[in-house]
Order: sequence, then C-alpha cells, then structure tokens
Amino acid sequence: MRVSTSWMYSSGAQAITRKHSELLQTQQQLSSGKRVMVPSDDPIAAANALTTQQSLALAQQYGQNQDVAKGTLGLAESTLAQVGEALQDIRVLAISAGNGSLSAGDRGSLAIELRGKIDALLGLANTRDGARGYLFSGYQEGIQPFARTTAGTVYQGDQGSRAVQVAAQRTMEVSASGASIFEGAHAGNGRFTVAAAALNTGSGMADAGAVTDQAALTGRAYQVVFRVLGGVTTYDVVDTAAGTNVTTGAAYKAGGAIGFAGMQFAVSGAPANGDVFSVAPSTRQSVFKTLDDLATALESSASRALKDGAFQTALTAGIASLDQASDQVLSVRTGLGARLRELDSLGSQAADQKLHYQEELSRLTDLDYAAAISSLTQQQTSLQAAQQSYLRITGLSLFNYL
Amino acid sequence: MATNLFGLGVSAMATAQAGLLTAGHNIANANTPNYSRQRIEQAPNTPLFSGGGFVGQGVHLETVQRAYDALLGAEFRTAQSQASHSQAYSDQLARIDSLLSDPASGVSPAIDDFFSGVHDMASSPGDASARQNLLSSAQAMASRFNEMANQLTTLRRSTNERIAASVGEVNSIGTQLAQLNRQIDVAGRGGSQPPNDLLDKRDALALGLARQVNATIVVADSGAYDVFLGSGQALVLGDKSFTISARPDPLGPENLRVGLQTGASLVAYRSKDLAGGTLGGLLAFRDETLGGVQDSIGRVALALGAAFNAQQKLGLDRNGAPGADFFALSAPQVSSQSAATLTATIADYSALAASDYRLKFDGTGYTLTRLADGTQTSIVSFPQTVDGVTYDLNPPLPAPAANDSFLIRPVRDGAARIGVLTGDTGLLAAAAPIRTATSFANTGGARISAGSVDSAYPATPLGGALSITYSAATNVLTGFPPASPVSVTLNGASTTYAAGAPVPYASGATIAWNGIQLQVSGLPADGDAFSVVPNTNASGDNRNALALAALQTGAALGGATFQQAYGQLTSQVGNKAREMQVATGAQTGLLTQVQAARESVSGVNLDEEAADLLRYQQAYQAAGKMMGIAGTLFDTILGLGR
Repeated sequence: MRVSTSWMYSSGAQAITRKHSELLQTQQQLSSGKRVMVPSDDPIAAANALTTQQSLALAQQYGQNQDVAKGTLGLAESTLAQVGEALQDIRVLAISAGNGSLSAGDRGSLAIELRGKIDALLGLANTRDGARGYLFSGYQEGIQPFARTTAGTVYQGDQGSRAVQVAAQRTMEVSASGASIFEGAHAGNGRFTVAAAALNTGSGMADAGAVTDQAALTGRAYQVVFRVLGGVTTYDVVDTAAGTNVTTGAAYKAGGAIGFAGMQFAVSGAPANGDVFSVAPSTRQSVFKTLDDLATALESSASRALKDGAFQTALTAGIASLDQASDQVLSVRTGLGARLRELDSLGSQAADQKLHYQEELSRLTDLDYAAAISSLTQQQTSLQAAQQSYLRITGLSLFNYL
Repeated sequence: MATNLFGLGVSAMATAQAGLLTAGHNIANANTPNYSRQRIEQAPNTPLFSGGGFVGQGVHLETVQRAYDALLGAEFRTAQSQASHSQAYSDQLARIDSLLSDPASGVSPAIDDFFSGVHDMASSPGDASARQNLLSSAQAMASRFNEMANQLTTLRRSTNERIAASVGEVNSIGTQLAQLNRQIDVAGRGGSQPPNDLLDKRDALALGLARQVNATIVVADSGAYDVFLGSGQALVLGDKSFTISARPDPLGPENLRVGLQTGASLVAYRSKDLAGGTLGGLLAFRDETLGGVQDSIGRVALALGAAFNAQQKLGLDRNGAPGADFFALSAPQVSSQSAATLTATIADYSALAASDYRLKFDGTGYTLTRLADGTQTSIVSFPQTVDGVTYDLNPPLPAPAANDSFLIRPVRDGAARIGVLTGDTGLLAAAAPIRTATSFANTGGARISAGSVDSAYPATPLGGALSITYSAATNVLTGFPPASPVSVTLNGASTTYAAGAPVPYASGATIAWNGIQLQVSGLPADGDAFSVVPNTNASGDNRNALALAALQTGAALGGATFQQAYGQLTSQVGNKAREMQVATGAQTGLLTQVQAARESVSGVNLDEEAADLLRYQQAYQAAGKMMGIAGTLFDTILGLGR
C-alpha cells in the first residue's frame, strides 16, 4: 500500500495523542483513587453507588438516632431508678409509722418527714432534660407534668410517648408519660381496696386482703358493718349500692378472715359497735394521691382525729397501694432497660451495616491500585515505543541522499 | 533530420519539465489538507510515414491528472458526517455526565443531607437548632436543584448557539460550493482538461459540509455538485445556492428550529432528517437527551417537594397550627399559538412522567402524545387526567381551530423553580394533629393507640375532644362524630358503619373516620372511655416528623425512592454517554480507515516525488544531450558545404 508522507506523520501523532489520553485517564484514576469518575465510566456501578450512598447515610443516621435514644432512655431510666429508691424509702418510713409504741408527736414528725419525701418525689416526676423539656409530660414537653392544686397533685401532660427511628424497621419509644409511670397503678391490693371509716372508734384494723375466687368477683362496692351486742361482736356485709345484705350477723373472730364475693380480708382487734369498713373494686390511683392519703392519715393520727384502728387500716392500705405503685414504676423501668439493651445490639448491627455499605461503595467505585499501576506501566511502555518508532520512521527520507 | 531531432528534443525537454513542475507542485502541497497528488500523462506524438515506416515524432503532454477516487471521496464524507455527529453529541453529553455525579454539584448528596436534617428534627422536635439545621439543608437542596437546572439551561443555550453557528457554516459552504461549481464550469469550458486544484478545493468544501450536516451530493451531467439536505431539499443547484436558517420555535422559544428559508416562512426539518454532522449531533442531543434530563430532574424535585408538602399538611407546626406548604413548586408550562386556552394542573405528583406532551386537535378530536416515547392517548372530553396531569379547556371558548397544537411541559421547570417558602423554623410540622388517651377511671385493660391521620384529615379536622365509650352489654363503641361514617378494618376485611351507628368492638381493629385511624386493643370494661383530642402544646411530639423522614425510603415515584429515581437518571445518562463514546470511537476508527485509504490513493509520498524528480531530471538531461547531438549533426551537414 502506498503511504503518503503527511499521513505517516498525522497517524503517528494521532496514535501518540491517544496513548497520552489513556495515560492521563489512568493517572487521574490513580490520583483520585476512584475507578468511576463520571457515570459513563460504569453507569450501573454509578447508579448503584448513589443508592448505596443513601443506605450508608441512613445507617449513619440510624446510628445517631440510637445515640439520641440512648441518651433519652438513659436519663429516664436513671430518674426512674431514683423514683424507685424514693418509694422504697417512703415504704420504710410508713412501716415504721405503724409501730404501736410511737407517740402522737413521733407520728407528727414522721408526717413532716413524709411530706418532704413527697416533695422530693414530685421533683423527680418533674425532671427536665437539659436541652429539651420535661421528661415525663408526654408530647407536651413544655408543660410541667405534675402540679399541686387544691384537688391534689394532678397530671397535666398527655399519654404520648416520643419514638425514634433506630433502624430501618424499628421505631422505638424513648419516653414514658407521667400518666403511665405515676398514675398507672391500681390502689389497694390491685384488685380491691379496704378502708376503715374515719369515724371508727374501735381498735379493729383490716389488712389489704386478697382475691380468693376470680370468678366470683362482682365489681360492686360493699360495706362491712360491725355490731357489738352484749359483748358479742357480729358483722353484716352490705352491698352499698343496692342496700341489701350479703351476710347478716356473722360472728366476728379477731384476726379471722371475712370473705364474700370472691374477696377475703382479715380484721383484727376489737371493732366498736357501728364501725364500718368499706370494700370497693380497685381503680387507678396516682402515687401522689396514695402518699397524700398516707401523710393525711399520719397527721390525723398525730392529732388524735383518727383512732388507731382506722389509722392502722389506712397505713396498711397505703402500703399496699405503694407496693402497686412501685411495681408499676419498676415495670416501666424494666421496659426502658430492655430497650436500652436492644439499642446495644442495634448499635453493633448499625456498625456492621455501615461497614458493609462502605465496602460495597468501595467495591463499586474505588480503584484497584494494583491493576491500575500495572496498566499505567503498560501504557507508559507503549507510549515510549510509539514515540521512538515515530522518530525513527519520520527520519527516513530519500531527500537525505539527494 | 536534425531539425526533426531538435523538435523531438524540445518535446522531450518540455514534457520532462512538466513532470518536474508537477513533482515540485506535489512536494509543495505535501502537507495541504485534501490535496490530491497530480501526475502528468504523456503520449508519443503522431508518427510520420516515411515510406520506410513510421518515424516517431517525440512526445507530448496529454494532461495533468489528479489521483482521486470519487467513491472513496463519498465514503470519506459519510464517515466524516457520522463521526462529527457522534463527536458533537458525545461532547455535549459529557458535560451532563460529570454534572450529575459531581459531589459538589450533584443533587444526590443534598437529598441525603436534607433527610438527615429531617431525622435530626424527629429526634429533637422541640430543639430550635435541629429545626434550623433542617431549614438550611432544605434551602441547600433547593438551590442545588436550581443550580443543576441552571447548568442544564445554560447547556441548552450553548447548544442552540452552536446550532446557529453550524447553520451559518452550512450556508457559507453552500455559497462557496455554488461559486466553485461556476468556476469549474468556466475553467473546464476551454477544453477537456480538468482544473485539478479547483476540484480539490470543491471536494474539501464538500467534506467541510459533511462535517456540519449529512448532505446528499449528486454529480450533475455538467459536472457540478448538486447538494440536497434532509428529505431532498436543495442547498446547492449548479451555481445557485439556497439558505437554511435557525429560528426560535414558536411553541418553545428557547429552542431553535432549523429549516429551509423560503421568503419569510421557514419550512422546518424534522430532527431525524438532519441526522449526521455536527448540526445533526447537536439537534439529536438537544431533542433526545437534554430535554429528558431536564424533565427527569424536574420530576424528582417536584415529587419530593410535593410529598413533603402533603405530609407537612398532615401535621401541626410549633405554634400548634396545621402545617402549610414548605416547598414552592412549579406549575406545568403550556404553550401554543391557538386562540383556545388549555390549562394543565398536576393532580398526582407521584404519577408524573419525565416527558413533554403535545396535544393536537384535528378538527374533531384531541390526541395527546407523550413525546418521550410517542405514546398516544385520545381525549374525548375535558377535563381529562393523563400521567397525573389534568388537562382542561378553560374557558371552553374560543374553541381551538383544526390542527391547533399545544405543547405541555408538566415537569420541565421542577428543578429550576423549587424553593423553600419559609424562613421560620416554627412552621415545620413535627407534631401530629391528634392525640389519644385512655381514661384514668377505666377499669378494663384496653388501650388506645397513638393514632394517625391521612390526607382526608385536613378537610375535616377534629373540632374538639371526642370520647369513645365502650358498652359491654352490646359490645359496641359509641361517641364517634354523628355525621361521619366509621370504617373498621380487621385482618384486611373492612366494614363501614353509617354515621351515628354504634361500632362493634373488635380488639386491634383499625377504626377510621374523617381521615383519623386508630386501634383499641385489649379487654375493655363497661363504661371505659377513650379520648381523641386535638393536639396542643405538643412540642415533644415527633410523629409527623417521623412520617416526613419516612418519605426518604418510601416508593414515591412509580415504585422508586427519590434517590433511586435520580440514580436511574444518572445511569441512563451514563449509559448514553458511554454508548456515544463507543460510537464516537468506532466512527472515528472508521473515518481513520477511510482516510488512510484516501491518502493511499491521493496523498503525496515525498520519496516517490524524489524518485520522480530524479526521473524527470534525467529525462531532461537526456533531452538536452539529444539536442547537443542534433547540433553536432547540423555542424556535420554545414561542414559538408565548406
């Protein structure tokens, strides 16, 4: 084939230019560490890299959310731990107040101590999270959850609890409302309450009782009315709403069980004629109401307005309610603790996922240095060969000999 | 005899000289582009009959011929036209290719950042700094969309400028070709000798034309090049040339239409008729790819903004007011030259397609064509919704004339116009509009869920507190708004109860009315009450913020997330760019081969010319010697007479 001289020059130059651009491409890959610099380098990998990048960003976000959840849950959990201790403290105080050898003055000072402890508990219930608002007021972070009013201590928040997305498929509640913590427990033994009428004059005192027959429960309120006739103590059980007697003239035995409608409780001591104990189905009761009632009973006892039997009954019932409240706090706290533990395992999952996505991203777009350096060397050699052969060939001309 | 010998020597000398001149001309033009090497054709003179036979009379120059293969020339033009097409397409596309994936200008990282801001707000809904952070990242995302749209608009403008320049070049070449046709005709008229260098010049112009546009060249009987464009419109006929021009498209003034100018009117070419050459490549890039990319990005921006706005309206802002639009969104563009008014409004943002539409009235009916893929829909009556866009003739009069057409671009401005409507962090709606509570006095164990609302809620918001009460005797719930039917869904089976009717209780069933959904589960006792109240002071409520954050991974665009839709665009552009790179490489390779073949026939080889120089030099010297001998012979004859 004939070869024209200008073609020899231009095709040689073209070949060198092409090799230069290949070399530049490899050099850019090496300096950026990226195999895919523009989507056209590998369109599929580039598109996958975008979605993987989003997954990576999400995994990081979930990690951050977990930290937030941990912080919020941790604060709530430690506050509830303090609440539990405070309730335990109060229980010890209440038990010591039942000691029969205490004087009225002693009970008065115990009442003052109890009022102080209630204030401390109220402070815990109104704990604030530094950056945000109140811990236990539900959605209404800006509103103090518990406030003293003339009607007692009332909850002003709502029953909402804030959730945080801690994993792709897991939205975790990180707060508990004051209603569920402090107002979730039932009064008395959890099923029914036993109370002595404030005007009782006898020394008869009732314990908190227990359910003996689940099926026989009626959900109605009753009164146990004592009669003392000629030294013989009997009692009637009256259905309060209907006014009808369930039991009439049953013989009283101190410390013996009084049972009806699936419920049973014991009365000890000597009830006076006309003393009344009322039994009602248990309803939810705020822990503050329980404690206020206890304090009031102590104060009434100190001022002799309340006789011993009624006082002891109120104390027993109060302690029973307090135990229910403690259980409720503990169960909420257990829930928080379980979520904290779950967060630990989610945290390691998120870290694994992050690593996985990073590896995926690297596999999609990062450069294989060994391969790139080897091709760089190859391209360099071929460029040198092109340059040298170009010089040799263009040096040849017949005119050199003319 | 000697006289004859002189004459013979002169003819030989003159021919050798022509050979030397031609070789010299070739050497001089060795590097002239598109030069075809020339050769002398020499032939013996007519011999003289002398009785003893024919005696040769020397040599004469027949002609100077260029080495040119017309077939290769045509092939070269075709290859050049295709290579220029791919090159122009590929060059423009490469700019989008790097734009989309660039971490600094690409939209993808901005979308991730934005949703990260939403998550942070969800974690601390009451925290002003988290809200401020979200606001800033929303503004950053919107301006990233704007910037990308701006870059694409700039690219469209520069593409149009290049189209106009290319059209100018085509016209200039057309004029020059017509002139050359005339010059060649005149030069050739004196005899049958070819004006080689003029022919080369004309072929070079034809090649230059092929670089701009795919033209058909027909060699007329007169030898003139007649040039035709598109589907057969003449650009050059003999020594006459015509003009094509680029004028703004009346239906979309940002585009230039290319067509043949006849008087004041422009007969536009269809893009596919102008395939080939830089002009064809630019038109194809503009009409096939650029519009699609602008529409795709616009669609992502619109769908994201609309989804966020819709969810925002289902929440309560920091002040307890219902959420308002957060992003400003663009409306569809409609352009036409018709007297009728067509309105297009977006009814469903998630159903939008990344395409422009043309609505044509043929006198009796309307046909809507999706320009991206040519899908046609007949429209019998208005209003009509197609691909999430509702079309209407409003006002209905004046009616369109037959053959009126409307160009509709539902999503073109999506990325250019998206913006953040507010600078007030308080207007971000993080809270849900309702909250629920289980009554304190309940004796049963049933619980009510936190509840949620859907798009039906804002039309019928909860007016005040609602107490839903359980009645054990009939196992029903009562207390729903008296005018609202209530639907109960359990295990996928849904039953609707008329307004005011009691609703049977089923634990865990989804109870819905007026856009509110909630569940009551567990064992309620008689008289147990559950309340649903409008949410107030809910600075710690993040339920709507969580729903906003969930938009990131929701299937919002035809089953794809925003990021996936953007990824699809990136991959489409990347694939197209790669395809054009490969095509450019292949066509450049083909061009190189044809060029090598052409050079092999027409190119100048200096060694060959050196050999020719020696050859003709020796011929010249020999002729001189011959004349010396003729002189000696003449002297001999003169000597005889002495």
